[in-house]
Amino acid sequence: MSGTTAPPSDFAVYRTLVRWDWLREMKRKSTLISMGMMGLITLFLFSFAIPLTSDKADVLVDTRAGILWVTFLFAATIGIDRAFRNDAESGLLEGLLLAPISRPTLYYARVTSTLLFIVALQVVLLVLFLVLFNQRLEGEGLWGLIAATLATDIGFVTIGVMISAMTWSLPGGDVLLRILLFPMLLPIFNVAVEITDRAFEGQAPLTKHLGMLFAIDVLFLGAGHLLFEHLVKDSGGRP
Amino acid sequence: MSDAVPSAAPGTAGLDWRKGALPGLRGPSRGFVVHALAALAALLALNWLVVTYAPLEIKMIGSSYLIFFYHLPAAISMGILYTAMMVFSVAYLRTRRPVWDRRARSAAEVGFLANMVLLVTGSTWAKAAWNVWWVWSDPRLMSAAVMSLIYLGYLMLQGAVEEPQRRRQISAVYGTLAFINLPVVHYSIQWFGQTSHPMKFDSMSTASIIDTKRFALFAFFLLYAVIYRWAYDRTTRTERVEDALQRIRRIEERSQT
Repeated sequence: MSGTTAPPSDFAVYRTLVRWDWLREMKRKSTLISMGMMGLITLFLFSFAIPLTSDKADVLVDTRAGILWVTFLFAATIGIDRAFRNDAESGLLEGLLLAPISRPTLYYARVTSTLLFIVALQVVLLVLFLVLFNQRLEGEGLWGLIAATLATDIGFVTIGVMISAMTWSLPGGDVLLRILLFPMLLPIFNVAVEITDRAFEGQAPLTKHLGMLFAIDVLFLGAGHLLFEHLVKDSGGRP
Repeated sequence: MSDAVPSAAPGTAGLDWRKGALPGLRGPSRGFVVHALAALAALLALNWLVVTYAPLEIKMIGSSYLIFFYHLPAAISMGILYTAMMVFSVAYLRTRRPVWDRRARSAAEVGFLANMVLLVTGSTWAKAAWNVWWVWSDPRLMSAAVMSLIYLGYLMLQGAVEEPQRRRQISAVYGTLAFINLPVVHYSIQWFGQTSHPMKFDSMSTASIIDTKRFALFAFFLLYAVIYRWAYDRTTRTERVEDALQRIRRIEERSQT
């Protein structure tokens, strides 16, 4: 034991935390499987909720962007809900909070790992959606959708992780998470559906839309950076 | 003990209503009554002005415009109360003094009430003018509705967290987040649909309408302030009793071990 080793930098801690989250999830896959199942079930629900016969093809053209995003939202919320719950149940979270890790580092690490899970989920769900609903995405539309989805996910996860930190320890916290989170996400959801709608038509997103997503991301990330600390401070070790 | 009055139970020290610890427990204070009566009188006077002084019909939209005298004060009060709630939440996060949390909660409650008044009067007007109660594509209607959902979430949070300190902390953070989100809600929704929400009619700049509008603002500010005061007293009272209950429990636990 030398005792004189310098503490690791914030970035090293961040990298380790993200890697740890990812490796553990790859081993257990419980969150990814729950999210994927939820997404698949939502897609099936939509196939019953709207008429998909060939003479009513217009209905699907009008609703496909919304269907995709409602599916993403329902599935991804499971991942958001587990951002802290898993660690808390295994007692790891207490250790993390006692360790000399700066709160923003912990926040960014959780945002990144949750984002990774959600992006992995979306790739699978998007392919499933295109196949099951017989849709095509190509050219500018596809790239536009990818850029917009990433920007939307960042907004979604930055605020989601905050609310997850508020609700995981509460009785009925999983329901409360959705009640608190969904209204906050409506604006970003609105923009995402608009962009996706254009993407299915093969059009690139408007600068106005991407700019708005970017502005929202910066705003939410800043809010998370400043406020996350307050959620884990003097709370008896609980975030 | 010769005194007929029993001494205070352990843990309840400081809970004496005679010293103002439990505001409103023995009925409202005189100041509150005066304030409430003034608000009531102003509201009655406003109704009288609306019926007798302001023109009963104006060009284009007829008499349905009269609801504007109730709608506009609700919109402005909501803005003020939600802003105040954010300021109180930030003050709580900085100082950790429970009084800021009580203020934030009360402001959120009354702000939500104003938000509901805004939606109901707006929706009633829409029925008169557009012949539908609700238009999903109208940005102003939608942003007001989304705001109400966000603040309803805040109010639900109050009942969901048992431990007071934790509740204050979560509420303050959520309250700040909610406010940060308001411009996002407002602008993102405005950018999409074209609103048919009337902002101003040329025929509305007559002196009698402007006078009535000013008086309406005054009357409703008075009213929302009374409700805020009532909400704050009630929150304070509940919290003091809860604190005492916690103290009593702790004493009990200690005596058992």
